[in-house]
Amino acid sequence: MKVAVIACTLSVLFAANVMAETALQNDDSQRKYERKVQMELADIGMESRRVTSPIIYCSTDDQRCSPRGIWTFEVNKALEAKAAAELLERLAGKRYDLLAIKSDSISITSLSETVDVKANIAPFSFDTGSYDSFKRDVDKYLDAQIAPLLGSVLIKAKDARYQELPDKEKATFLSDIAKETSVPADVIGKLMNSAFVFSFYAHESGGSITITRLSLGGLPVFNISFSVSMRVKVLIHRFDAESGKFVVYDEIVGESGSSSASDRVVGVFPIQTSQDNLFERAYMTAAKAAGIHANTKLKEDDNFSIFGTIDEVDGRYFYSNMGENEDLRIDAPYTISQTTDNGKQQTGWSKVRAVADSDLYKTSPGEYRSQFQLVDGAMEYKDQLREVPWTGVFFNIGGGTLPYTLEKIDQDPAAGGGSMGGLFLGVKMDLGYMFNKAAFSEKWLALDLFLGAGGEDISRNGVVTHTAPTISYYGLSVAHRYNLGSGLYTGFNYGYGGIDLNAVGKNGAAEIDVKSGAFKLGANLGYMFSPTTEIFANVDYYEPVASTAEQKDAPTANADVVGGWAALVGVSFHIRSIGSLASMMR
Amino acid sequence: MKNKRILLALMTASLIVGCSSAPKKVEPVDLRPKSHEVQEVESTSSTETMLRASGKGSTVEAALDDARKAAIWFLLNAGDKPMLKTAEERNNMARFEQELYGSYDRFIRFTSDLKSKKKVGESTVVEVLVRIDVQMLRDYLQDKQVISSTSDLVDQVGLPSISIVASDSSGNVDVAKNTVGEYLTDRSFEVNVVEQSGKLNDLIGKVAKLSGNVDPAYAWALESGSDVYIDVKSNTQLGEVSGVGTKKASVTAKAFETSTGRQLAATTGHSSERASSGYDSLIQEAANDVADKLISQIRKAWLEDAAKGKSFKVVVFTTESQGSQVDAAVYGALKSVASGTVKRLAAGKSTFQYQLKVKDVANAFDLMEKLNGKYRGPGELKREMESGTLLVLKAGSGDIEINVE
Repeated sequence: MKVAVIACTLSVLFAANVMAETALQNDDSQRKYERKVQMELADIGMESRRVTSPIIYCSTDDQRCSPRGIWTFEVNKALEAKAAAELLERLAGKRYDLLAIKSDSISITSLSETVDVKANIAPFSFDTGSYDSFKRDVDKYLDAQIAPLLGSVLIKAKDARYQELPDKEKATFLSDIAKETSVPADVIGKLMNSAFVFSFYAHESGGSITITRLSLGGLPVFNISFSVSMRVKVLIHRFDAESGKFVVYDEIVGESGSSSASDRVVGVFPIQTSQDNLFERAYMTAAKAAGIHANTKLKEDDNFSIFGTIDEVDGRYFYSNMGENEDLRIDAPYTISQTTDNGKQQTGWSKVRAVADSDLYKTSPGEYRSQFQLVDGAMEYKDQLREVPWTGVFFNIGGGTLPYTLEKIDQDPAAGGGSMGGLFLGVKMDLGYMFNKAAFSEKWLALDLFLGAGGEDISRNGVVTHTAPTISYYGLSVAHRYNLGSGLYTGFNYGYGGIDLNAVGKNGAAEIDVKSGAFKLGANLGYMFSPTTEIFANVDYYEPVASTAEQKDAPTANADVVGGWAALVGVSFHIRSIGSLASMMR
Repeated sequence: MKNKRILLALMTASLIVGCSSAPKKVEPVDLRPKSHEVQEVESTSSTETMLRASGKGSTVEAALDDARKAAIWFLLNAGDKPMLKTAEERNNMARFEQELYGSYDRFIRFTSDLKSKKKVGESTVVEVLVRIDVQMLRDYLQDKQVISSTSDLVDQVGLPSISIVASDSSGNVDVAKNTVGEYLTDRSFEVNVVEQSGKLNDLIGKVAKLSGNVDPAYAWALESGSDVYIDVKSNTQLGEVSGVGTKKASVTAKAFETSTGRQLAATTGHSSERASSGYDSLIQEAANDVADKLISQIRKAWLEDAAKGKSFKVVVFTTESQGSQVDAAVYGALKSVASGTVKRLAAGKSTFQYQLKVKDVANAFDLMEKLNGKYRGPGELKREMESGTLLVLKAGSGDIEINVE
């Protein structure tokens, strides 16, 4: 299936650059974000409205999985529109004003309001087709509908030195052009700040479904997990004033990764017709994740990234005159740089700790400033800040030990396990950034997986019954991080998970699974090389609870297991394609 | 013995006190700017000027202070129209530099956010836009007698009346004339933007021809009766920036003393290069620039000469038969009222021209009044025409025709 969305982001750069006097402009060392206008010509074009998803069926009874047919879903118009809105929100956010062209009107959304005005610009329309045909249609539409209007408006603006006119004269000027072009003055005003148009297009999405049968209290229970992957291509056009046409400026790709939603059905095997809601949730999560990924790539371009300056220094904290209007997020990293004889040099980086409320911009502009904390390096008054493309999500990999010592099975003395070494994998995310809430700043939620081996053989009543034990841990934890400066951080964490010790039976005995819940509490120390790479060391105390021992053809027995101290070292890499985690992003 | 002890104690005490309170050599802090990199952006009004100034310091704040001082320094010492024009004025200023740069803030009306910041070694270099109250700065300098006050002279002789004319007749030049006119009016000059349309006074045409100046602009200036006239020309130019067609304009202006034709000032102003399809706004910008530069030159030249009296041109027509007697008699009369020498310009058998300076005379009418009792030649002196600093007379008896020889 293909989904096409077109949006135009219009910036002030063209008009301002040509018209403003060089002597009055900031140079590259004091660059600041100028609010842009995004024009949305929203329509979703689809190559195919069908999302074909093969089903894998698994049963916990026999612990086997097998293919079980294919479900096909249709993306209807309502879902189309919702996905388009999601993609646009991720790519635009609050940092742009929005100008949406509808069939008989144009709606203008600024920070304060949304206004609908009648207009006679034909809306863009694309149903389904290949990327090439989509691109051709976009080119054709822009050159036929937007370029003539934009060209004439810009030329007239230059004549009138529009940027330097007093507000009253600007209004008169816009009103005159509006009469001439039959386009509302409000729309003309937004078009004045125009140069770039970006349209985005999603390639065919893949789906997959896993249905897992569980046995809970005798009734069959079915867990359904629906995953969708979406690939979005963002096509950026620039208006060339000389030729009066749009030319391609750049193309970027956003990948959603595997984006899932799940549900549970009790009693009867799930059927497709009752799973439309699940499909919609998975589809929307994929659209969100693809938009987030595309946005991180878009922000690599200086024309679409946030720039600011350090406007007040207070120890390791500082303030910059930007905030909600620029879509700053809690814990978002910003590089700090200075210009020297050798060009621009990065001197450090920082994170946003408090975001200025957009209301302050109107009521007390002097107080419209956000707080940052220096994380690494150095900074001084009026250094340059630049947004780092970021999702707040990291992939962890490392190694360490996990203590899990068996002491009793039923009432029999037992032994085995101990401190086992292994591989650690996981994902962690900055909740401050994900929720964009200061209360969650530097609170990290981690999903951990540990796979280890090398423990002592299991014995019962002094007799070795099982050998070659392996261990796995999977769980969630929350870490509170404190930055120490120079890239170092420390913190503490707590969490809960499940531990599974598995060992092979000796002399024909069935294999044994010793399972526990486990609380953990620990401390960590880390060093951030950059906003996107860090190393860490954790020391955690594990306390197993509710332990059981299971053997085939034997009743489940209670077990006594003791935990202990675990050590772990690893490295974390920032990931841009965040898949299902996108559903948490606010 | 006791006295000795007291004496010893006192000596010791004085030695301790003397050592501890030995005057420390305090190096005076040099408050003058380190940076002298300043670019004039525009005259934002007749009393304020906007500059883009660079400053250097160990911190951003220090560099910012330095930039603001540099802007003051520029207005005093550099650019097209430095306030300190002579070596004497610069010497006078040396005494007040520390005071001026120690309290320079009062002259600054606006400082922009940083336009640029750069680390050079251990120093920081910044650029800002600074708008300075030039009039206030000038008043300060006059108050400190760093530069001479022109107000007394202005009270005595007044500012010159100025006509603005154009040598070319392009549509753009009217915009330039009007803009320069507005600027000068705002600076208290009596200004006449000459329309240069309709029929020129016949006699003025003949006088202008007699002077050997065939420029019609000069004739229009003569007719307007101004003390000074400014001849304005405009030029336009096409360009291209980043593939976008641009235009720019320049305006050249020369100021002359109307009576003598002496050039008082000359300068050229430029607009920025802009993407614009019309020239009006660009001409305005260039004309504002030129007026700002021109005004200080005119003022300076005019007031320097004002102390010696006001210049007049006197043209006398007579008959060939009375020519030599009239010439001698008029020359004698003029010498008796002139504050300096009387120059005899090109003369014929029946037409004579003189140039002189006269104190305490406001215009040609007053000059005529003064001359009336002084003429000792044949017949009488009759005023044929007077216009500002131009006085045209008939002298002698009988029918006198006005013919240019």
